Amino acid sequence: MHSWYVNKTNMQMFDVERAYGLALLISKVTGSQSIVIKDLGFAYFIESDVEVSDVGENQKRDLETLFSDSNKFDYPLATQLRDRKTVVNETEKVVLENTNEIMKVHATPSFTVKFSIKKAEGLTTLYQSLDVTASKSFRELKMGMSYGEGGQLFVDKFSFSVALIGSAFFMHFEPTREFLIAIGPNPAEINVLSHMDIKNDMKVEHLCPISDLTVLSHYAVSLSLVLGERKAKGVYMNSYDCLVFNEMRRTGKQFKPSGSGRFPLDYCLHLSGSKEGMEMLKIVQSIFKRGFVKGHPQRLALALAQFLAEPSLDNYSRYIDIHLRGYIEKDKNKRISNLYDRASLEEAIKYVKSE
Amino acid sequence: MLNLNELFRETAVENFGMALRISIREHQDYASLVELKYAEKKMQFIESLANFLRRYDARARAYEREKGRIAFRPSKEDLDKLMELVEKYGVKAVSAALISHALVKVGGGE
Repeated sequence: MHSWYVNKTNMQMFDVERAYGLALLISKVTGSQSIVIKDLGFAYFIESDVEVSDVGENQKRDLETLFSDSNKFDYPLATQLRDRKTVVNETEKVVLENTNEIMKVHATPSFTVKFSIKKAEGLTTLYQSLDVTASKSFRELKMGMSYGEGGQLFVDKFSFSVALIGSAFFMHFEPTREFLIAIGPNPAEINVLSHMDIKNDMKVEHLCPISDLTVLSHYAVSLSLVLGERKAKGVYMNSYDCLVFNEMRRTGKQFKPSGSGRFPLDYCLHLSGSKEGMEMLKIVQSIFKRGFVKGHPQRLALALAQFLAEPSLDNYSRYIDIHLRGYIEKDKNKRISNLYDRASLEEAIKYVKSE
Repeated sequence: MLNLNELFRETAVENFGMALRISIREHQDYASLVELKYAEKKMQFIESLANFLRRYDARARAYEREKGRIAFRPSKEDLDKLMELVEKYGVKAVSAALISHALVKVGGGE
């Protein structure tokens, strides 16, 4: 087995993007079907059963296909309005000319991302669409008395290129009128090829857009449904422990950094482990799909998102109460007609946390 | 530690839950839902349960008059057990379990 490391930087989205991006590069170069990513805590560990040989013409052609559809980079470079094409071309150049070097530096855990708050040779802007932390980077001491808001962060070109590829091919971007959110599952231990299958099977075209929390919860439910179906069929199980997200708010023509972090998957994954839980997840998905309807459906979707993020008794009480009120609503368009199988509901409340 | 699932399966909760389900889904007893939901202390819960039972009993009697059949009613033992559960797990958990029963699919008529 051959291995690579992606050291973490405490910028969660940037780290996940780099892990996925490097795994994709390795799969293109080695042609291996068995690339595994593991989260070791301090770093992501990537393993392949095929050794990286010198990059030949075939591998170069394969790598070039990554950049053939420039639209793929629109959201990962959403804040780069003027020279998006130039950035993509430069990234392509860096990747094609330095593939072996990129592999080599990641082969030991000693490689760390080079950060700077000043633009310099060999460094490139880390856009907030890849990680919002980058746009305000580190606070700076002013006259030794107070702190000023930080400026743009710059990183080395290898790390940037790998992250950009990871973002373009592995992150889900959900644009709404108010925000743009990028979501990706954190790979606890996954096979990259299976991950691509899972990603293709997920129904995430229209995530419930009423808030960032509903988008994340809806994504978590879609992922859990696919994982549950694969588990039932006995297909190799990928293991994810949370969702990593990166959110920007729309302010006129510009995006402003809004937030980033992790969304827990525990509750949805518990449900995906049983037939009854899967039935519950299907109802949950249908509730999110109707979340655009104002009134009870919208309120229910919001309460549900809150409950999935934190399955406490308080959040459950609020959710079930809104559901019942929606059920007895007289207006047919605003009525919530779902009811639960007894077994499904029992499964759902099994994991409600007490105070 | 509270296990809402176990509470949900208690016979007393099931019987009161069934009565609540009939009241809310067939007779739109919105008032009982609101009172149960907002009861925070034991005395408030007892009061809202008494109001609910009074309304439920009135409807049950009307049903018996019209149909000539005996309507379902939670028993005195159910009430005692429910109070015991409130004492043990708190008002919020018991009312959440009761309200959950109101959203369960039923096969035949109740």
